[in-house]
Amino acid sequence: MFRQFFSISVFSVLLRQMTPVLLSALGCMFCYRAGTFNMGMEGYMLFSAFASISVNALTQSWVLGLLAGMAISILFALLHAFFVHKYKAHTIIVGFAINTLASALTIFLLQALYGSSGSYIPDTVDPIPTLTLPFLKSVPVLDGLLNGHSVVFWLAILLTIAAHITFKKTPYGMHIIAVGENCQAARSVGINDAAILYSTFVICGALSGIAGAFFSTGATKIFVRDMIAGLGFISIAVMNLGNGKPIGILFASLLYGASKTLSLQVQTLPNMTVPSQFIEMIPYVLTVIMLIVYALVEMRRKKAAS
Amino acid sequence: MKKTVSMRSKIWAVLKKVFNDDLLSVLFAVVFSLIIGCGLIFIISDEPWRAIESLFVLPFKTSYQVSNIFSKATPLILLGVSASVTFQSGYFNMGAQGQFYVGAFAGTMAAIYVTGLPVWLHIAIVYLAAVAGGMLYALIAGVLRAYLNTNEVVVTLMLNYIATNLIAGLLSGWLRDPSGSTAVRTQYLDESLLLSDISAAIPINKGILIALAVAAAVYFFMFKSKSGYRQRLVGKNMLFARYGGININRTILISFGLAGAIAGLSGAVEILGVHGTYFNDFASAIGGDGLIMSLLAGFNPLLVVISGLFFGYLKTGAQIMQQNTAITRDFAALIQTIIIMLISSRMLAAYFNKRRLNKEVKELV
Repeated sequence: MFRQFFSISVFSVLLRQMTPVLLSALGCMFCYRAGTFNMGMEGYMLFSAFASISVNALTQSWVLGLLAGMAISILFALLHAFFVHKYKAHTIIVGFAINTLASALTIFLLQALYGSSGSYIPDTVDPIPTLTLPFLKSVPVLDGLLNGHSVVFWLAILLTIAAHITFKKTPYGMHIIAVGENCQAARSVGINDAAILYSTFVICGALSGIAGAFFSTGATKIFVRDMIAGLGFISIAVMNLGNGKPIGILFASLLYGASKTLSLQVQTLPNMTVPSQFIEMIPYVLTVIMLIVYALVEMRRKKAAS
Repeated sequence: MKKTVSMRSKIWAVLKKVFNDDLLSVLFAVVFSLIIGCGLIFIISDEPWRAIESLFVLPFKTSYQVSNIFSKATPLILLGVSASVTFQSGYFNMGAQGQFYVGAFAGTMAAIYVTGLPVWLHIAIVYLAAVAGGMLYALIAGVLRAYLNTNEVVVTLMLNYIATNLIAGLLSGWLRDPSGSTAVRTQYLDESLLLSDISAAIPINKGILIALAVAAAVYFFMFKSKSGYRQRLVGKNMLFARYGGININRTILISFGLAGAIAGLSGAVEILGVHGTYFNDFASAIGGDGLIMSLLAGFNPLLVVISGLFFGYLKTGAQIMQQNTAITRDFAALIQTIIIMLISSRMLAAYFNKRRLNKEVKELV
């Protein structure tokens, strides 16, 4: 049984599960660190999944599909930011509206464009390629472990590192943190808080866009209505579990991938008494527990400071 | 010429008395989104008039459909009232879905596994279990918010998934209907526990009466009682309320407890009034619908009744439209979204304000 759990093919399922979550959680993190709670990722990803497979089927190019997905996702993120900034609408309500809109509008477009209310399966899709590093070919374990994963997975890892550097080393990262901690103070020292708001939403839209494109043209070659199925909310969990830090989010998304993979494995086992849903539940329960832990730590820190 | 202008401004003044800016902008949003909806029907449908007739007229054609409107409106009203409680107090409860399921599940368990009691007592215990279940589940988020200052939005979202998965897991194994049916559900509940129609002449489920009573009770609590005033004061200006000596933590617990209790009750009403059994994920996305009802009604529990009935009507129409034409019933969701986008921005209210101001300035000049 343990052999089955820890085989290399299971590991690649794990990485496939965690990739989109890692990306959209990173996006969510940018908004979170800038002080806005974004829960529109679900909608951005759904729009992107739809746009990228449509463009991909038309042009037979995964690059164009990916770009189209990112573009539409950024567009809705900008719309979100615009409503929040210009019309002072509440970010949660707008995010919620965008999620509903994405679900309804993609179903509507499925019907209007492809005459189907459930799914769209194009004849041919140019899938997002996988990456094989030639110099690892000869190394026995690493070959199986690291080769053959989607380009998007590696992109996600690189972006995690980039995000880490952004927050640790660059002025832009510092400005985001400053706006997030105290917007008025940041403004008084000349930081353009509107630019920070819009730019973090654009980053969130771009990252969610990649995740959405991975869904319909990387992991699968099909668009199904509501195919994101709550992954945007999982990325909120992952973001909080990682305490809003890139490296923390990387590990949190690994943990999500592990629990998801484990629950998929459990479903295939005969005579399993623990329902797979209980295992799928683990990341959510852990998130609540970790939120409590972070809050306790924060309280103690404040007490010590005062 | 001058006369018509003053006449118009007089009508405007009367209208202003009846509708305030908010109500006017809500009405505008509803009409506008319905027009967009009809436009979309014309784009995608081969038989648009039939679709529009199905959507708007046929819900009133038969008594079955009319009763359908009310039974669809019942959970919308209850969850809308639940959302209004937390909105009025200045908090976001995104967990109505989880509280709804927990309440429904607790009620179902009480209905199945509590036996040997007189029927009236059994029914009372079923509702009590549902209310307590929803309330306790919401209080997890409330307590964490009050004493640890955790983000209630994130916690309630997580609790939704925990509830859904927990119940799905229990239903898939231990608590499944032992008669060997393939569906993932509990056994059917005893007929005597279910909510019946009001009377033979009025074939509308009694659930709507519960919803109306709850809406009225919450209205009186929020707007006519001292405790409700405290809740709303905290929602309006928390710092001011704190300086005024209001115990903020208590208001958090009250608002989450009450919201959860109503959501739990709504779950039980749905089980006893519509389904008669708990099957997995029997009302997905209903929690979000509740938020929309509340937004649409400006967080007023009495107005939630109107928005709930309106969307019950729209959902019934969308369902008929799905049967009669090729358009799916997700269409109602599209109209919902357009409305909420319009309302959530203060764009419209601001627009109306500006128009009025411009007019007043012109008249002065």
